[in-house]
Amino acid sequence: MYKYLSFILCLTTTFIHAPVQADVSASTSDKGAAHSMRIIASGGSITEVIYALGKEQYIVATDSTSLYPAEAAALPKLGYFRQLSTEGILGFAPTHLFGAQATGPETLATQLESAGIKVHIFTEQRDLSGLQQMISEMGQLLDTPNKAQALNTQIEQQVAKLKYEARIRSQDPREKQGAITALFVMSDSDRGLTVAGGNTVPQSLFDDAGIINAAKDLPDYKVMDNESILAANPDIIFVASHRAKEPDALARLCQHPALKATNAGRNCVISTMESSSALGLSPRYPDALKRIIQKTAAFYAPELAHAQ
Amino acid sequence: MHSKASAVNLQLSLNARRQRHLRGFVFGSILAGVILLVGMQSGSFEQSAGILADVILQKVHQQTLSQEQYLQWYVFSELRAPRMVMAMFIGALLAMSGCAMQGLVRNPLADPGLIGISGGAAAAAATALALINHFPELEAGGQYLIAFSAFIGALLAVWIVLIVARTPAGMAISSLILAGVAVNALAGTHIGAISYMANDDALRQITYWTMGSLGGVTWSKVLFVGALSVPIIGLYMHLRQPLNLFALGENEAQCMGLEVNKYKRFILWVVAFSVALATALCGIIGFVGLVVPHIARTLFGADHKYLMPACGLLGAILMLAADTASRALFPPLEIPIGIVTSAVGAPFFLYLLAKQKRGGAIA
Repeated sequence: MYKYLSFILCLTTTFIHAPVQADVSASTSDKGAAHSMRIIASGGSITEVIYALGKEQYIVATDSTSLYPAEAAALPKLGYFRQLSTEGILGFAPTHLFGAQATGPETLATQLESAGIKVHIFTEQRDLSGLQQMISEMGQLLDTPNKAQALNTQIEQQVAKLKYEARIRSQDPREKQGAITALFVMSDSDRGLTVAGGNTVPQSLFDDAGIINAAKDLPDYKVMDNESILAANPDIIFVASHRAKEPDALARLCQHPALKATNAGRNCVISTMESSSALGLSPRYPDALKRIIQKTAAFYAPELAHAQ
Repeated sequence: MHSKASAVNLQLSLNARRQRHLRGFVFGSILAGVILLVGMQSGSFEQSAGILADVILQKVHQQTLSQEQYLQWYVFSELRAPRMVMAMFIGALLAMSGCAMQGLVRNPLADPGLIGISGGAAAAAATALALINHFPELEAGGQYLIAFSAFIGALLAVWIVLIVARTPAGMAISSLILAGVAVNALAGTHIGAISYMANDDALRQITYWTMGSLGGVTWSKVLFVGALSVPIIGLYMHLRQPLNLFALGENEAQCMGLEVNKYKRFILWVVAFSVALATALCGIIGFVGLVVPHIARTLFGADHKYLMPACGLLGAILMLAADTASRALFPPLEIPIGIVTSAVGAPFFLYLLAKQKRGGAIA
């Protein structure tokens, strides 16, 4: 009999944590505001756009990639946005889920809709027009179309001004003679560098900045082998900031076997880019573009290299 | 006189054993019931037995539910209940297949994954995931395509293993295991190649698929698995006697009148079919097939007459507990169930190996 007892004891320990529940105090505290939206924001871009439109008070929880602005990082987290738990979401008694394209798993949307929650998944085109489309859609959903329009105009004007200042005439860098080549490094290891290829936000930033992406032929984010990097010979390297936190990270990267013989590696022309605005669609797109243009300006317009 | 006394003693001891096992099964069923009750109330969504009972009563009396009550009802009836029932079916299938596998190869360290079932399923599922990502028009029926591919992949892997292991004298267990190792390696290579070529989305989906999850379980899937599980469980019960004969050794089993080669193939196909079914719908859920037969053997002995149903019951209990833990440990996050079962199973496996190394017999 003691075998059974030890077995049940073993299982009981599993349940010690069982009564732990999601923090749903918020769901019961604002019953007065029954008509308010209670939004689950899934995806860093989505959360940031909601903040930019000034409707952050409606967000009740976000996914783990929603870390900007700082207040968003403090909101309850539901885990990675591709693998959310339906029950975890329902625990926050939401009325809406606004999600980035890859929000999942596959059954999530159907389950939430059956529970009476409005689900809107955004189709993301990873460039400026995709960002503007997302802001417009979000403006409609949050009933602030004018604010969305104003934000879009502002972003468009900032980008146009930056492109003008950098004297970029050609929209297609591949047709431009003498355009410089850049490489966006997302992570590094001795086996190769994971870089941003085509159909990524860095690709769009490079296009807008009139420079060539050394990894443009790779789809999405991929490991690029050392020889290919040497063959592409980038003039400048950008690194996602989350991969360059230690002080000597950039100097170390310049010594990477794939980079040290390239133009960029020889002169250690390397800059960090804030990860959330450079890797995903963000209303801070113009800031990211500004940084790229500033850092590359020295190559074709030396007088702008130090301009702010 | 002496032999008569022995016969009486044997009969008494058999009766006592039967009584003890019966008590074990009753106790196990009660335990399953308790975990079901705990599981019903555990998870990110706050739900107590009292509120749930109210909502169910209202539903029975066909009264209209408020929005809050509807949510309670929805979480219970559409999210938790189907996955708990599914957990029991999958747990029973995996554990019984492990029991059959260990009985067949007469090695307590055998796992259904040994003959390439999960590897084949994962390779096929990864291919399907990558294809769906590449051809968005496939997305509509995506989950069915993945499940179907995984199922076919698993059976294909077993088929290759069985062909390779076939010799003129019948099927050699050692060839079977070596062929399984090779097929698993092949599947690993295939997954590696697909992962390397896949885009970011597909890559992550492949990773999550291999972790196993009961998150997407619906009643239609439960009905499908249930309808197939019942006859499979029946087959496992039918295989108890042949497995007991296999325990004596293949030659002895042959002398006892068992068609060894026929049963070997049959058992392997039943194992393949049940694990393929579980894996196709819930991803890879490791170590249940390995660990549960051991626990069951410690509690109920090595006689398959009792061991097989005990494995089914304990498998169901373990999966129910693992599912409850996966939902309740870190709300609002849900840990993939494959991780929970491996977290329990892998240390247990190490313990078994260490015990074997010390010279102790493995149960």
